[in-house]
Amino acid sequence: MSQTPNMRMSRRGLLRATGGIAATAVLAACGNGGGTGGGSGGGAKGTLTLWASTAFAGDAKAALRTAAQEYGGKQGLTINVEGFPANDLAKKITTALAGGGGPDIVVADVSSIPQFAASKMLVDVTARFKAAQGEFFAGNVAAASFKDAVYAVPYDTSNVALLWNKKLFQQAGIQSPPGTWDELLASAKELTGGGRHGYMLGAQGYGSFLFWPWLWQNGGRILDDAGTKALFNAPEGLEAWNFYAGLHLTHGVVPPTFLGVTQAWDQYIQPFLTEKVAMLAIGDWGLAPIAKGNPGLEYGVASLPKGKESATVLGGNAIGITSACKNVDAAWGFVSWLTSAGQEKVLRDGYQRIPARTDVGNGSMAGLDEAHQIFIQQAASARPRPAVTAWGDIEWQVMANAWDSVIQKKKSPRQALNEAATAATQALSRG
Amino acid sequence: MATTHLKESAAAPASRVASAPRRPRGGRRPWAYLAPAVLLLGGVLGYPVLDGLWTSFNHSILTQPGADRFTGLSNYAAVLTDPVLLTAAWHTVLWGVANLVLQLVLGFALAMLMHQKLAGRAFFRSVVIIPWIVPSVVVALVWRFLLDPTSGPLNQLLLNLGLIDQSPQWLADESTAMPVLILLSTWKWTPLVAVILLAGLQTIPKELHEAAMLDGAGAPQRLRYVIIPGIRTSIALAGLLTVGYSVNNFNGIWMFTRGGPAGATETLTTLAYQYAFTQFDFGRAAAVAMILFAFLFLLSTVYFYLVEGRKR
Repeated sequence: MSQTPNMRMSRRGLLRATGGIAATAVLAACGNGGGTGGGSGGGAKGTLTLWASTAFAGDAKAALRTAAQEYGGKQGLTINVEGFPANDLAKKITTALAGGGGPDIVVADVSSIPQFAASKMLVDVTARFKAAQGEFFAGNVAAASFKDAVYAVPYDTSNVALLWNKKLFQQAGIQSPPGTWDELLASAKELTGGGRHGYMLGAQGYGSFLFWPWLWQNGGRILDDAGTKALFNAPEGLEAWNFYAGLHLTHGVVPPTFLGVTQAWDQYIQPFLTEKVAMLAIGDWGLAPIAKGNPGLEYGVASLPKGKESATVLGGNAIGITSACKNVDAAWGFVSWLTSAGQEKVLRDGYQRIPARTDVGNGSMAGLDEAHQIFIQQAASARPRPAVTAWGDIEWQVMANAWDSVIQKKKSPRQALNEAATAATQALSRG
Repeated sequence: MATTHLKESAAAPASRVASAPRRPRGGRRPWAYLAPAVLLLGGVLGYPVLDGLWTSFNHSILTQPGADRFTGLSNYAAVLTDPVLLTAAWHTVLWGVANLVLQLVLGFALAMLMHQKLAGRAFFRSVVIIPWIVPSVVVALVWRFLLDPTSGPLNQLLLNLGLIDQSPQWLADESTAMPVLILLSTWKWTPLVAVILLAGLQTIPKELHEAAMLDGAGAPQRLRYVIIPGIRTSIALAGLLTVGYSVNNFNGIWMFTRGGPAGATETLTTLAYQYAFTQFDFGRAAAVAMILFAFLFLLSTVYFYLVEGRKR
């Protein structure tokens, strides 16, 4: 430490340092053209690079890597699989492709496909996909489409159901999971007390994502058909929003710690794992963390409680070929092989996930445990979110902020929802 | 970032020589010597700034490829009328000032301690620097665990000591999120300030202390008339770096709260990030970044003249 150089500086040195600090601000904040590309890019013939979230490509033995090797070996192709944290994936893909580099193939959340498509970052696969399109759930195909063209092939499908703790229900003397909103509220109240709570919610984007089923169950809609106007603040929407927020604000059946669920699904699942919460709504991606975190937990899976109708939200991933790909035919060969009827084992055995194929009901998923069966049954009826460019903005910014301002008691539910609708319509007008 | 500043500080003695009373001889030769450095700095610092400036005057939305066009000040008009900008700017000022004051005061105290002849001084100096060298991702993971409302050790400790009877949600409560993040940022960056100030303290000749003591100056007087004037340049540098680092410290906010809860920790950097990566509007993101740039530039120029100007 005594060797520290003299830190005194002249005026000029200081001014230059200032420039450095300020320039870094621009670099850090803007990130324009920051793409460095990844792996081999799309350059060399016979080599393809695939990017996916760490959920698919987290470790060296990931099933997707094995599948890529198997196919590559047969075709004389090298397929490099690279994984990125789910929260960063869309941003990574976007900046890499905008910078002229990036992968040939992406496995991305369906809700990000329209934004990639609008940015002309994915290849239109409508014609290539036509022959096989009927083998996939219509909702997943719709979610992977933009303006009547298909930009990605549905890979896995997920939807949201209700998980309930059998032991806590038994202790409270409740026989079965709630089938309606009223039953949900009544059960949640029964199950709240003694440091435990009946139901779980999320903050920020987790809160907005989990709101859509409530909206639909009450007969509401997110946007109009043209995708130009927000409709979620119509009377049915407001009623659903009030009920949803009321679980916390009015009835207190939600652990107050849900306000901190902003970073990961693991935070959301935690209280259910530790039996501090008796019920939560989540997709099949929640099952593996529960099996890992508390293998002995006795819980059941049921469809979400019904409002005026039943509804759940569709999620999952789709596989697209990027504009950086120089060998679209080779990439398509791999994509169509990976999503074909013979390869459902990759998702089923490697990840306990459900392929977005209509034949999953034919017993090919029998190998998955009972908890998965409800999700398989719901796969055909789950509703996709609107395929609009501004979706990420609407769900993870506009609605996320609105939800936060409600649960932090900064705004009334009505005011927050109306303001969010105005902001969402404005976001849609930007295209 | 750090390397840039280290390079700057290493280059400083050279420019001190140049600004010494001795008149430079003139001619073109000095420019030839300077050219490589100027070109490098121009490329590494100048180009991104100019590119950012240009982007901020353009309609540049990633999801509208081919629609880029010059739109003058319309991005600025859009972001300046965004009510979030004012809040974010206020949070940025609060964040910068609080970090500056806390880090300078604590950093000075630490530097004074490390300057004493204590047993185990080398060990102490190494330990103090640890928060600064830990990567911010690790800092975020560790502190998020420590601060977890239900399973975090901090709340357990406070509960067991009877200091609280309900677990505060440090990062999810509007009233505590910003103060907690400021403390965490102070925890992480104070060591740097302490090291800079320590280096300054070591340049004060012993004779000055001895002379002051002979003149009957007590500790407060020595602090006021010997120590602080002696390390004024170090304080200026540390202050400048602190403001610059803090205001640009996106990780220290994003990895804890993403600007939440309900916008309570939204600053200009998180706002620019949201424009760029949730709306993919690089024009508006660049406009926010340029506003931040102007603000920092102005601040550091004023600060520099206040501290450095008094010398003359």
